[in-house]
Amino acid sequence: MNCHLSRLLLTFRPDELAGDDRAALSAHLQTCPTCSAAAKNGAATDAAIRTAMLAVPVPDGLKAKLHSAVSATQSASRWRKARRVASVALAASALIVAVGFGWWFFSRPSLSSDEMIVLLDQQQLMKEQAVGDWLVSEKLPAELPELPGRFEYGYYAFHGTQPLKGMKVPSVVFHNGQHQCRVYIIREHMVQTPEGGWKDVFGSEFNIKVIKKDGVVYVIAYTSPTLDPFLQPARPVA
Amino acid sequence: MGSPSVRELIDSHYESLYRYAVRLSGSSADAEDLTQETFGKALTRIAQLRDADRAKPWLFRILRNEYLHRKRDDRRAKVVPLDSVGEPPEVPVDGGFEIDPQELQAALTELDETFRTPLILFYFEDFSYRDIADQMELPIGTVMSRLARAKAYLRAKLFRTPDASTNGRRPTEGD
Repeated sequence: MNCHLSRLLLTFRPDELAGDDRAALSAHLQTCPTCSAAAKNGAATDAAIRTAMLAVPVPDGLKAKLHSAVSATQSASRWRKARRVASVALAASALIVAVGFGWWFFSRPSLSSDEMIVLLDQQQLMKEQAVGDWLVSEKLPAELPELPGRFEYGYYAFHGTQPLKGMKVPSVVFHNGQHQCRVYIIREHMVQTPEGGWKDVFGSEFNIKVIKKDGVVYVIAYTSPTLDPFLQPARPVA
Repeated sequence: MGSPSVRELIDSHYESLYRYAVRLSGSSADAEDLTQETFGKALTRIAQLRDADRAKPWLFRILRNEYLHRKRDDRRAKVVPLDSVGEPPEVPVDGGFEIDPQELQAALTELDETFRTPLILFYFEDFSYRDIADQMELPIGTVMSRLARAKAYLRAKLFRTPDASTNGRRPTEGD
């Protein structure tokens, strides 16, 4: 081993050298006073630097302070974890409520305007049917006459019998919010046919229209100028 | 062997870590903060420590990373070419000489961190070249080179003779 290699190996710690290198270096140092002095010099300076390097006073209480800081961090961590769990639970609850609400919201029956109109028509038909059934029970034709349109049962108010000249006269009443229309249905042979035209009845003006059909007299008293408001549009003629 | 608890790590290593932090930062206040921060980080990463025997280099690495993170924006280090560092002076080997720890700290503080760290770790005894290379994520040859130059610088600073007064120029990473 030459001195150059010896100086290179001296930069290593002995325990970091391979066995052969360590033995060769040791043999060289025994025969080379220059390298031997360098080795001792290096070891001495390293020892001095190491001693100074480690000469750092550790503050009293540092250990307790570190333990305390770790405890505080662990507590905060546990609190954060608990809060996170609570947040997740809250979020899950909110999600369940939201899903439930969404399910309820979107599962509500939907109504279309067509269906509502059909329903309304059905109700009117039922009213007309009820009036017809009642007229039949009074042994009268089931349908009111067409003038030329059919009566608009959307304005139907009520029906019943009214005492008149010792008789019980069946009548059907319509009201459109502004005017009323009363239809009295009487067997023709039971009365003398009244006259039509405008009449003042206890301060109210009524227009009287009389129709005879199939042995029945229909006396229609209405307050509107014409009967049109209470009639459906006339059926198209085939 | 399972992972030790952070409390066990504190008991075993807090003094070494604090000393390392002082030598690295040059400030006892910063060193306390760094040490505390290191154990705080260890608390959250303890599961990463697979081998309890490697706890010390693991903690030292955390501390150095924390130090570098704090110093990231502090790029005011002076630059001195490495080739300006001369051969270390021969020191009379009669024993009995001492180095003032504060003078040592002053010399360390002047060094670029890339040279300071391997120097400190080398003198902390427990760290092999391999450990230092792992700490710094550098090839072992680079570590040895930096260490040799840093030691030469340190010896020139600390064992300065009247003739060697111009030797103590600081090596830097770019050298």
